[in-house]
Amino acid sequence: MSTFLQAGANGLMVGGIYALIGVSLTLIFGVMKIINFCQGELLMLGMYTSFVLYDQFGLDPFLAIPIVAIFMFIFGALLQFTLITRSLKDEDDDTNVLFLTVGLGILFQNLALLYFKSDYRTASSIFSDKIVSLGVITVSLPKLVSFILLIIVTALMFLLLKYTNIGKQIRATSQNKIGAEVSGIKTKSIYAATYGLGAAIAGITGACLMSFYYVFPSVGEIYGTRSFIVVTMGGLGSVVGALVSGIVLGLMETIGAVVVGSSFKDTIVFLTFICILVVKQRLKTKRG
Amino acid sequence: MTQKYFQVDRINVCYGDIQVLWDTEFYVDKGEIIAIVGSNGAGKSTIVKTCAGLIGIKSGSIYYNGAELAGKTSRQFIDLGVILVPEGRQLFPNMTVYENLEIGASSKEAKAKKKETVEKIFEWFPILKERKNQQAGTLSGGEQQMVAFSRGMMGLPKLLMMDEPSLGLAPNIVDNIFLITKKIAKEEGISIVLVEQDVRKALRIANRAYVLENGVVRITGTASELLSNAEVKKAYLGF
Repeated sequence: MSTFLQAGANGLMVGGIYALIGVSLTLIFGVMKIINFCQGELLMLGMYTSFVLYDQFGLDPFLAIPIVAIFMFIFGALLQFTLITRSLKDEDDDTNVLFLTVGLGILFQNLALLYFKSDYRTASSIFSDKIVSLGVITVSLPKLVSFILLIIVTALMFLLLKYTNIGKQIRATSQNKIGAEVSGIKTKSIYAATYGLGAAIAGITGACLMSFYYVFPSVGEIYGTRSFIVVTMGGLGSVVGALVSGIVLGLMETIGAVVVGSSFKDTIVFLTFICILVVKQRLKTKRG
Repeated sequence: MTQKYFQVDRINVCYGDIQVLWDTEFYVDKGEIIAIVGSNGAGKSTIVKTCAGLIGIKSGSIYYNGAELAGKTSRQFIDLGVILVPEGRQLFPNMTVYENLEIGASSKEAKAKKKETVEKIFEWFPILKERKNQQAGTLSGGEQQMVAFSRGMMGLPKLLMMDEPSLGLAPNIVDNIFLITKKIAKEEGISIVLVEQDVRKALRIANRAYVLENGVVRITGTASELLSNAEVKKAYLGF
């Protein structure tokens, strides 16, 4: 029993990371209807930013979060403003932007490979190697702190979208672009802000991950594919859906690993994913 | 030629290779209601979209209060008080009525006077006050048109353009919206450009009208002149 509880606790922590990267992907999709294939690489860049801050200035990965977030926001916004907007010109044809984001992903990975080499790099936090015991289960402190940060970041994003001016403009733009334009919303700036926000959240996820995991150029692939599963399960564009399905995915992975062995972890994940897709389709056709 | 309050001077507009407007010109005086009528595809929507800065022009000018608007961004048009209530309402369906209105207040001045404007709108359309916390997507077509009109008013327009406001609505609702339109034109000196397929209704509230055919202004005159014009009668009024 305690093994399962332990696996559940671990799953929750891992799921938190999946949820956060899923939230960032779903935000970008929800507003711009762009399927961003370089979300995993944005996370990777966030991790390396955090690593550099640690390596050069000895900054704790958790303390680096605000800097990583701001840096990634600016990076994302610039990316949107310079490249993605241009590929969006033909609004009926979204293959351009698809190829662009795939290409950017490959570019970022190889730039990271060129500059940082393929070594695994780590950064340690003051929380590293510390463990919290809660009854029969033990949780590593950096994972727990990351999980709490996930909740805070998601809550902040909710508040931002719900109550602030920019949040309302983002929602308006996502719901009706023409309506937004005739109301004086600068949709291009909103797109840049949204992409920046998505990149910042991916960066924050990366910085959290840096406190207990290692970074290497293709680390984004793992989380990129996971984020797609999360978003598909939770429904494209749904923040709550991404949050829930991220945590479910994490639980499935860790509990599945206990039941059938950890080498089948990915098999379980993708099998469940396929099952969910089939069931979802069935339900859709039944309802429709 | 003396320049009018709002004057569109021989504009040519293209979508890609296809020219939609040919040397189109019209003007609006302060507080005046003009109607632009014509059949489907005549270029009516293109005119107002151009006058809202959403479409660029190939040649020609748009003067407003003596200043050239052509080349400015749609946001700049709005800040100057030239506002479009688009065809099909284009509301934000998952936001509340109040939030929809709030978004409409985009210029500094409009933001500062937000509360006052909302009060005024709720006086014109009491039903919107009742529904202010309801999602816009759950409203009836008529109520949605009221929200679209009001969202435009939130921007404190000096010139309000309405694209097909009557589309798909019950006659009494259209009458209500037109009544308010007439009122704001008279009381607040707001100029109105009304784009309509329902020629009879449009001519009833407009001072003057332009009949557009294939991107060219064919007939122009006061509303009563047009109502008695044989060609207009035959083509648009059905008798």
